[in-house]
Amino acid sequence: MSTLQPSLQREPLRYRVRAFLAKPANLILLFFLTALIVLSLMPMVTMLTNMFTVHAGTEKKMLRLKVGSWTMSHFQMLFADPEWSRANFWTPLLNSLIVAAGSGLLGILIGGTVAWFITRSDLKCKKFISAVFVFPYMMPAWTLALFWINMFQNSRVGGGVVGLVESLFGVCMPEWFVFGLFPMIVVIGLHYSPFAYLLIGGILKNMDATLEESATILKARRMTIIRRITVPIVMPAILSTFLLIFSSGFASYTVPVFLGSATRTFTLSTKMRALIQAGYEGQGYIMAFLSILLGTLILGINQHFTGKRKSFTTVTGKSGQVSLVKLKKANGFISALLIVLTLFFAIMPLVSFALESVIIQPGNYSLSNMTLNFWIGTEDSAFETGMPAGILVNGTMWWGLIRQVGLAVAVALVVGTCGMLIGYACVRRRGTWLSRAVENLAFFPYLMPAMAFGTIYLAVATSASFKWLYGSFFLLGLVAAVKFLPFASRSGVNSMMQIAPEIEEAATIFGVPWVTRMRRILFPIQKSAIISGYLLPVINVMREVALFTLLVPYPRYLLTTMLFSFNETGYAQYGSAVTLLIIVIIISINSLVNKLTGASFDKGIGG
Amino acid sequence: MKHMLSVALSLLLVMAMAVSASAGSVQDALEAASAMTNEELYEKAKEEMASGAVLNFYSTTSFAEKAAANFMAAYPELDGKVVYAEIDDGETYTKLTNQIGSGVKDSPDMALVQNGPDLKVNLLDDELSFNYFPAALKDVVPEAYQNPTVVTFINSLMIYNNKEGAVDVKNVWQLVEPEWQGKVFFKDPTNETVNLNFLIMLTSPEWTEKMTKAYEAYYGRAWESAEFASASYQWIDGFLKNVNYTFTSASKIATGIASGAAGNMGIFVFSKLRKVADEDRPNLSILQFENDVDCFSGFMYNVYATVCSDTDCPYTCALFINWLLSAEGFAGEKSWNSSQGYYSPNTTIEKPADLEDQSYPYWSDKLVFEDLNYIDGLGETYNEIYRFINVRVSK
Amino acid sequence: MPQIILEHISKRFEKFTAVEDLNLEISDRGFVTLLGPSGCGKTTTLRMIAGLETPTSGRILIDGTPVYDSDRGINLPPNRRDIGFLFQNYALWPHMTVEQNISFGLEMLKWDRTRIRARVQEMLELLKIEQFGKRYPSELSGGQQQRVAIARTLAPSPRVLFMDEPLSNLDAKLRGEMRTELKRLHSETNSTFVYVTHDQLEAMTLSTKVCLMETGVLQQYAPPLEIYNRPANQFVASFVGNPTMNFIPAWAEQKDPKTLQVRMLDTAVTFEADAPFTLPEQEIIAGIRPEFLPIREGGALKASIYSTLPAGMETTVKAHCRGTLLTSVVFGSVDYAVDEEVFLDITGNSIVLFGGTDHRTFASGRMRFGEK
Repeated sequence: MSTLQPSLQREPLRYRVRAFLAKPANLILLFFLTALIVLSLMPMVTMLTNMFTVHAGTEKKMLRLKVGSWTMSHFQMLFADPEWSRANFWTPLLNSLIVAAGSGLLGILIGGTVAWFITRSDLKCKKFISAVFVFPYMMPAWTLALFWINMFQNSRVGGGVVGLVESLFGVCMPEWFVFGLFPMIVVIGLHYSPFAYLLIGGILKNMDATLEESATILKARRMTIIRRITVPIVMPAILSTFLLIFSSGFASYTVPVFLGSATRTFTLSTKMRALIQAGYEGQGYIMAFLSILLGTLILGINQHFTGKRKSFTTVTGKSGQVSLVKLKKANGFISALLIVLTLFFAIMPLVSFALESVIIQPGNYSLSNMTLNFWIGTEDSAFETGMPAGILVNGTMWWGLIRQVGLAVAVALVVGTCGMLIGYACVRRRGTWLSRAVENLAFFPYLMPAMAFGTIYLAVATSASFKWLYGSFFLLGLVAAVKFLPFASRSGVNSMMQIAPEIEEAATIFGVPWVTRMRRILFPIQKSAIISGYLLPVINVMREVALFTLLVPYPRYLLTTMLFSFNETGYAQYGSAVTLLIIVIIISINSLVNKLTGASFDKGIGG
Repeated sequence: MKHMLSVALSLLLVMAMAVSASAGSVQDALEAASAMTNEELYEKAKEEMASGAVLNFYSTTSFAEKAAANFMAAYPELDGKVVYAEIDDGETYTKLTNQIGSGVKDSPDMALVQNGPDLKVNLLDDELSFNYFPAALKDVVPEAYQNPTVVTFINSLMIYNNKEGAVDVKNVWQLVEPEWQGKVFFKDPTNETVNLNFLIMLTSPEWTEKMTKAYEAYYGRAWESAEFASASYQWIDGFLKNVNYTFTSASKIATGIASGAAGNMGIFVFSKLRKVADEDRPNLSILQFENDVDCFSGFMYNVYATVCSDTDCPYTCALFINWLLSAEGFAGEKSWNSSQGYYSPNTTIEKPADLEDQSYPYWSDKLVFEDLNYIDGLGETYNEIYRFINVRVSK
Repeated sequence: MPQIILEHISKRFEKFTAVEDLNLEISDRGFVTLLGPSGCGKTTTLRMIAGLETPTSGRILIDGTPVYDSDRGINLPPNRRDIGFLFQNYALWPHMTVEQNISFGLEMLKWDRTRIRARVQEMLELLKIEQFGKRYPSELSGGQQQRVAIARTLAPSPRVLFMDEPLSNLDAKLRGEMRTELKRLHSETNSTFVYVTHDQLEAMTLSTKVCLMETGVLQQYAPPLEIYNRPANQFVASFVGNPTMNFIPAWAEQKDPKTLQVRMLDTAVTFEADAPFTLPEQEIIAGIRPEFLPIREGGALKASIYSTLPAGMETTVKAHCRGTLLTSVVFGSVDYAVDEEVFLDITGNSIVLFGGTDHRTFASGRMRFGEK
């Protein structure tokens, strides 16, 4: 019956357009394509032009050119002079690379080891360890850096202020341990190790146990199995995690600021900020651009590996009965060690911030040196330290807190919903260029340094057509939404990938409208993953500083920007109190949502 | 629809006209205001406030908040419409240049800013802001501080930890000796422009001469170097080699030195001594009050008042600046004068006797003063000096 | 009268063509199977008829109404085509109970409450799953889930029911049972069934007509027995039937319009066709089903046993005959020793001949040894 007549012409264009638009997924993709080009690509273009134009401030003062005129002098200055170039570009670049690579390795070492113990051994207190182990990821990274300094500063390094370790045990750590590259690597590595734990743990949990069991039957020894079977199978995940931590570590700003100032250890991001602050904005933007290029490269490598990973890990759903490795005598020791370590890095910061917020004189932890004035002091007792009142009885603080939480919730609602929609549309139209474009555009803001992002949006918001945006809550929300979309859309894609298209089609057959399909079918099925997708932006906004500093109408507008101005102006105790407050709020939100819905932020990353 | 469009268009037109008109009229108004008495200004200011204006102002010093409160109490009929907003030094000119003329909501009417050269280049030269100085004070404020108008001086002094006795520094060249390695605390000059300006000022002919003399006094020989362009450059080089940057803000330097190791010395904002806990305060000594240092014991920088070109209340701004320059304004309750380290350019205002401090004339020959005309006139040389400092600050 | 007509339907994805110029007519109340190896375009075809996939060009009519017409820009959504669709993985909604799964679609069709309850009950009974009404899909076995999926699909009484490999996830025994059920449902519901499978046995046993496809091109559309006995080409012949048909290279010479002199396996054979034909070329391939190659004393083809696979009712025997491995089916349980010498005969009247280069069928008929 097969006919040999030539196939008919394609459908006329207008019908194809109509058919194209009839699919909600296509409409969503078109919408986000437009929105993301405006919101995420345009800033990039602005940044590119900023590399070649004269800015107000030092540049104008020096070059005597009109603001906005074209120039190549930023490039000349950054690269032509070897001494300048080394101090402001090459050394910071090298430091950034060392920190990024070091923290990537450390994060994987710690996260991967814990993941293995939790999923593959009969370790004790697993529940506790896995619950507390993710704390450092919920805390802003700089809190760990501050904690590190509070712990280890001593009379022999820096300014000779006595930290907790010295005052309790009389031990003085050497300078390289307290400041510089080493603590940066440790702090960033620790901060992201839960990330490695979740990703690698997820693979280990889903890995078909028979792969290891068949090796056991072939009489392979346990270590051989880990080395020859387990590690190679999780290798793509490890690499991809490494690259994610690498790029986060590379872009990290707050940690190097805290830990690098004393030893003059600049990274690309701190140097970028310093140059912008000194008025060499053009050079700052060149550096921002180069770090975006590097980020894109890493993203490309990562996609290469995750592409492979999919074919590697077989999720059969039959791996329920994993034979757990018996740790025997070592069990008690390893459990104890892990508990101590997790407590140290998860609970101790809280204790440390609590302590720092009540002592009057730094380094003196005796009861007589303590006061609750920084929390609940009234005007008279607190004024001496420059603030009208303790933070809990201070209207400014409460407003900052309310705005921060409000912003977090608003951004989460928008970002979570957008992430879910993008996830839905990209998965449904997988393989089309439109889907690829939207997925990549949505990930793009991840690569933009928060500082550069804030600067660009400030310029946009003060331009003639957008001035109504300036200083508004809406602007903060918009910027945060774009900046935090990457993880939400990634988790959206991941969760939608797990739903077979037939689940939706079965409803389509009955004529269930799209909105109802989303509401009654897709959302309830992936409830936990989707709520997790909403939770992650909440946490991100709650701890973000760099993105907001330029855009808030005044520094005490938000809790985090207030905190940074405390740190700048030296209200150390208020700073500690607010930090503690932020961490406690984040952890409470996470556990509350977890209790109510079973979702948890870590599911948003693990995917 | 058509109706709405025309309304919107005419609104835009009115706004555009208001903005373009205000630039000229603000300047005129400020000129007129300069000759008025406070009572006349008060009347004008009441009119402005009555027509819906609010005086929003930025300040890099938080004492301005209290000054504004006192101002509102003194002029109750302004209805409390003076709103203070803190601004971070590093963001000042980015924010101001973006906001002035943009017509954004709550955009500032005036600002109290530091770093004169940037004020001149970025705002005054481009007529984004205008200077205001009351004619009545012409004789009590030195001319150099009338345009742009300085509302307060702030000094950074050499202050050290005396737990193990006094340090014997009598000449600034002592600070470049190896024994001071890591013991001098100073805020990263590439991160804080006033600190940078202090170092730049040292390269001026006046200070180069003083530094050369101090060199000769200390080393007992004439200054000579193939490596450095002047004695000042050599000092900056040696000084930055010794600087310890552990503490990243003036307050942290203050508290850090107070509770840190004996013999540490900082050059930091004098007024930040108020951040030091009472128990630690006795650990600190102000070098200048013990020794006369050849040839400086710190530096002085200025906080300027400037009126934004798009303000809708120039008279209120003028009245407020008058207030800041007056004894009531500067020396009121919990105001600048009640703290160490703030000095009015108004020579009739003296520091309270019970404060461990001296009035402005005392400091005038002991500190390095910021001269915006010198820095502004540097041109290409500015870049060279910055480069010299930058590569020494980075590791 | 839900008759389905496909005219010149093509579906191209970015780089490859899933379905090429397909013409098909599915008559009312038929049970039509789309059969073919995986990737042949059968599922795509089904989804295009259901409206889940949009063709690139062509026209689809259901019940005389065009539901898709690329020239006129018609493309009705699935819910306006009055169809039911049974998915390979059931696609049960995991967060709804069995009852909710069945009633959800009816709610969407705005049925009233009592009617829905009655219909759900009726469906539960029809598929014998009354006791599972309150359970969630994850608490059911594969077969039970399958029944729920069928109940859900049948609940709104669609006039056309599409099934996409519905039995492929079940074990052999259940699959057998469900086949019986499906056949019963087909006669009870009076609907048109369109069924996708790669299992030729399922296609043979269930359908009234089989549509066999390969790489997006229709190979043959005919009743099962015709497919089996008169395959249109060598592909069809090899795809249908288990064990697979023997394909023996041969050399032929036409004696008269209905007779060929054939030389194969170094043996002279005479072929007599059912109808007159013309020999396309002398290199041909003879297609002989295993059941037409019995092992019996007096057979002319001497062969040595390669392996024996007794299955109880019949035994599949593989034997070497002059360098060619042949398959034979013998009734009953017989066991031969490896390398044992046996003789094969050729019987039956459905021997098919294919062209040596185009692999198309040009004749079918009987064969006997010797020359005419």
